[in-house]
Amino acid sequence: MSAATPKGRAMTSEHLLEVHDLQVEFGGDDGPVPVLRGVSWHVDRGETLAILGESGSGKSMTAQVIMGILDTPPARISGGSVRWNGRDLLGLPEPARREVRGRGVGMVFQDSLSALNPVLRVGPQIGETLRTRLGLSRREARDRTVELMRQVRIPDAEQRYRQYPHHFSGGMRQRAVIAMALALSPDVLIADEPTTALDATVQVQILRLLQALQEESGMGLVLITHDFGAVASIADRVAVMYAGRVVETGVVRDIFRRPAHPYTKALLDAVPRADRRAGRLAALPGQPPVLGKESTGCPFRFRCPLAEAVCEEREPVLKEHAQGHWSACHLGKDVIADVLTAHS
Amino acid sequence: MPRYITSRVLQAVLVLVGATLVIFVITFALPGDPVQALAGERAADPAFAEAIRARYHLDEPLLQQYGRFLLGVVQGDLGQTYSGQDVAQMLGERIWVSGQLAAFALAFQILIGVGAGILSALRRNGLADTGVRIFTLAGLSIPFFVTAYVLQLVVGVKLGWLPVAGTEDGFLSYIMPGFVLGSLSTAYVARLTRGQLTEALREDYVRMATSKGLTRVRVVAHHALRNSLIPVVTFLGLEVGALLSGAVITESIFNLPGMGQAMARAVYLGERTTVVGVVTVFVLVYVVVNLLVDLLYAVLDPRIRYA
Repeated sequence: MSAATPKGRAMTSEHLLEVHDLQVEFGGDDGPVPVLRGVSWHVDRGETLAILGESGSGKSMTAQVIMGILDTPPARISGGSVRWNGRDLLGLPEPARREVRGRGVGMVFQDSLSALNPVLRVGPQIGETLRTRLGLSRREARDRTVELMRQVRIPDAEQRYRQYPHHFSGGMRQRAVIAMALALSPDVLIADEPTTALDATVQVQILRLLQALQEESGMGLVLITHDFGAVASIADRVAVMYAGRVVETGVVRDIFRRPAHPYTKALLDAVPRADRRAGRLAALPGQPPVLGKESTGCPFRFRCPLAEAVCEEREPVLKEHAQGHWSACHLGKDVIADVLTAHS
Repeated sequence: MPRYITSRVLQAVLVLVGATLVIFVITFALPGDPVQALAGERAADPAFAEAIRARYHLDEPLLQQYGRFLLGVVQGDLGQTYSGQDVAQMLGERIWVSGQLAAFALAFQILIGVGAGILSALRRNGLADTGVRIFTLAGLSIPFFVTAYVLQLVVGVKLGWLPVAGTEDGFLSYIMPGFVLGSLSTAYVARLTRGQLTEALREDYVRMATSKGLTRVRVVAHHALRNSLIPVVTFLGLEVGALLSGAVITESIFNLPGMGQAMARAVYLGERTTVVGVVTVFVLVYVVVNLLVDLLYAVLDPRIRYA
């Protein structure tokens, strides 16, 4: 078993949704380019997991693999598993896979404008699966859809039902997309950067809505984001991704108070805070690593203020530094904390 | 909406006036004297020539003749040919032949073109896709009168499956000319559909539809196809006009008594009233179809509103 697995007991206990050692590569001119390099995380019922990382770290791609909407080719799933209630989804034939979509795992897309079909009315779009999958009558589906629209706090749902996506504001569109993903009451909802395209005030509303919906239904929520602020307010646990791997994971309090990976620490420093004197925001220097460049060491070492000789020699694996708090860094957690404190 | 239609109709009138005026001037400038052409090899009797000129108002200034023509058009009168036939009546008979031909061509474009395009997009880089691409390339590259003669020879003469020319066999007579007339654009429609659908299949709303757990058929038919067919419909609408003008050659090759054939013959004979009459009908059809396509566009894409 790959050492990147955060939990040795993963094989015995069953999680609601578990991604294990997932590997995806793209066919390149000079051989396959690895994009996901052994991603592992899980989410349980009633729990919110935040997946954090910058663009290109593989957050969204993991979601696409789970939903089975990754274009293969050019991508290729070269290893690992996705288990939903103990069933491996990657091995399922397409019809069985389709059954899981929407009912087992639902997904909210990042850009609500492009996620809604521009030429179809919003209401029927939300309720489409109620008819095709649950076999409800037109009227039943309509009533249930209006109910769903109310549930995601869309005002005047009856009128809104007949409108087209371009009549909706950004926030309303995202609510409509959420209602669409919730239509079949999925066990797990994956929200892929659901607030990125929205105003700050609307962002907060959408996050609160997701949190409320999750508490009402007890579903598992996977929140993909690069916004640490969002994580702090609604997540239970966090998985930080870098260069196609989870580099740190744990409960949100631990991650915030005692980040055990220099990358997490850098992300935290880059968050603007009201309780600190305004000044220049800390920025993480350098660029994310170029994919496909075969390297043996830690992919973060080029941007890491603490990089040592060992970081160049081999890539660190996830280790449990404290109860339930895992980090992939050669330096011991306390060393990191001390040095980082000294730095800031 | 009513305002939009009104302004479009007014525009159409302007287009009609402009187009016919241009044709009027051009036919006037054509070499050869139609009166002399009527008389044949011998020099025309001056008294006869004088009478003909007076009868058809050829002695009047160009603009006056044009005004006379416009006045006639408003009353549904397109004038008479030099042999005394009523042009409006003659075209009224021929327009059905041209209309059927265009309908067959359009049907081929929709069935084969859109069908092949969809197949091609869904099996991208597969065997079917490669086949479609080869055939469309051939369709686009081979001049359609070559296709016409080859089909006439093989399907008509050698195999005897379809009539070679003429309209004696009812709708069977229109299959081959319809295919030939539509072949060029069928290839184009296939490529357009393929490109549009390929693009639509990558859209977020299509992935969203998939992730809702809809079947592939439903995702393609209900979500991807509808959007990707909007440009195809636009093209096909405009194509109706092009089919009429393309019919000039096809009708001549297959000896179909349509408007295109009448036009070709009239140009050859210097028969001005017929040429202008046919062009008037062409322009009218073109303008009306254009308007319909624009209105259809708003039906297909709710984001478009005319005010």
